[in-house]
Amino acid sequence: MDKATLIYLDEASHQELNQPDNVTWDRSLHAKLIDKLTEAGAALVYFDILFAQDSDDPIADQALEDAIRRNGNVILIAQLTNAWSGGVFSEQAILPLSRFRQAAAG
Amino acid sequence: MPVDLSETTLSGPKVAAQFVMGVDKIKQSTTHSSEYLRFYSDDPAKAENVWSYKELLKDSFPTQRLKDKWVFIGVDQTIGFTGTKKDTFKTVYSRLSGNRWNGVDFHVTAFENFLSDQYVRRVSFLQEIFWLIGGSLLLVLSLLLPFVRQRIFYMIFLAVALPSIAVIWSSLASVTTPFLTILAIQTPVMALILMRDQPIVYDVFISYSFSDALEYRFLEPLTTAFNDQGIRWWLDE
Repeated sequence: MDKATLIYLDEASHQELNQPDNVTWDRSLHAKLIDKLTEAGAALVYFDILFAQDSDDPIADQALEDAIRRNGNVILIAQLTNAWSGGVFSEQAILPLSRFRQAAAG
Repeated sequence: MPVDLSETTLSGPKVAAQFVMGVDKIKQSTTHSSEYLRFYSDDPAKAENVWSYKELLKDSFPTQRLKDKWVFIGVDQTIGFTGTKKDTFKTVYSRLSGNRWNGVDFHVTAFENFLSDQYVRRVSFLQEIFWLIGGSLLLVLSLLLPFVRQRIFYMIFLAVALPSIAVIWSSLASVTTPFLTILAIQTPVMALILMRDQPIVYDVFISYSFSDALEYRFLEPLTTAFNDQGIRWWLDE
């Protein structure tokens, strides 16, 4: 696995960056991270974080969108949910916000 | 089919995008498959090229180490809404170690499996039957040993009898358990050699054999998902 690199939003980051544990992370941090990766020349940036809603900070959201667009190689995940309801099995994908989707590579 | 990464600098994101869509499909598919995720280690966090988010934001971070890398960003298990474990899943190693993987660990592993074509594959049904019948024949032959007079034939029979027992065992194992003929064949041999020092060999086999293997994420068809997404086709272009 010499091509792949893992970056964890771990306990230490969580405390050091002072991110509350019950709300989404400050997206300007993600933006900063992506810019750093862009500058470093990473071939691909894959976020296992669902950006399905606007955060409380529109400026940070905009910064993230711009950073994703600047990078050009960002992949965002979607989440597939399913449920049984009245004997019917249904599935629904929760996609990232379209503004992020359009900026991302996929 | 191995994919040459050097050729995919530009197209990489497209592969990845298709791939991610494929992964979404994996969880819903229920058809039979012959490809399973190959786990590289019990604890991906101990691998090289693993960083904490905070390190990357520091100016001192050696960014050249990320050049041309495929960077996966995800949540480590210790944070979550209530500080409880979140987005974690069992692997084949979990029974022994108790470790659970983060969601992103599966993503990176599945990605690596896909790009390097390293899935664990089950042999075809016909091959399994072949081994079962072949093994049975050999075993029957070996039972005739006491009636063999000439020494040279005796030696040949002896050479045949021992492997045949292993083959019989593994054939039965592969038919009676829904997983991994290769693992079943290598396990008795490996287990004998390594069990004292490496109980994990034994445990991985046990984990695969038991029905709670179904709990593992991404154990369902990968082939189907990729075919549906036209990935193989796309890569052949």
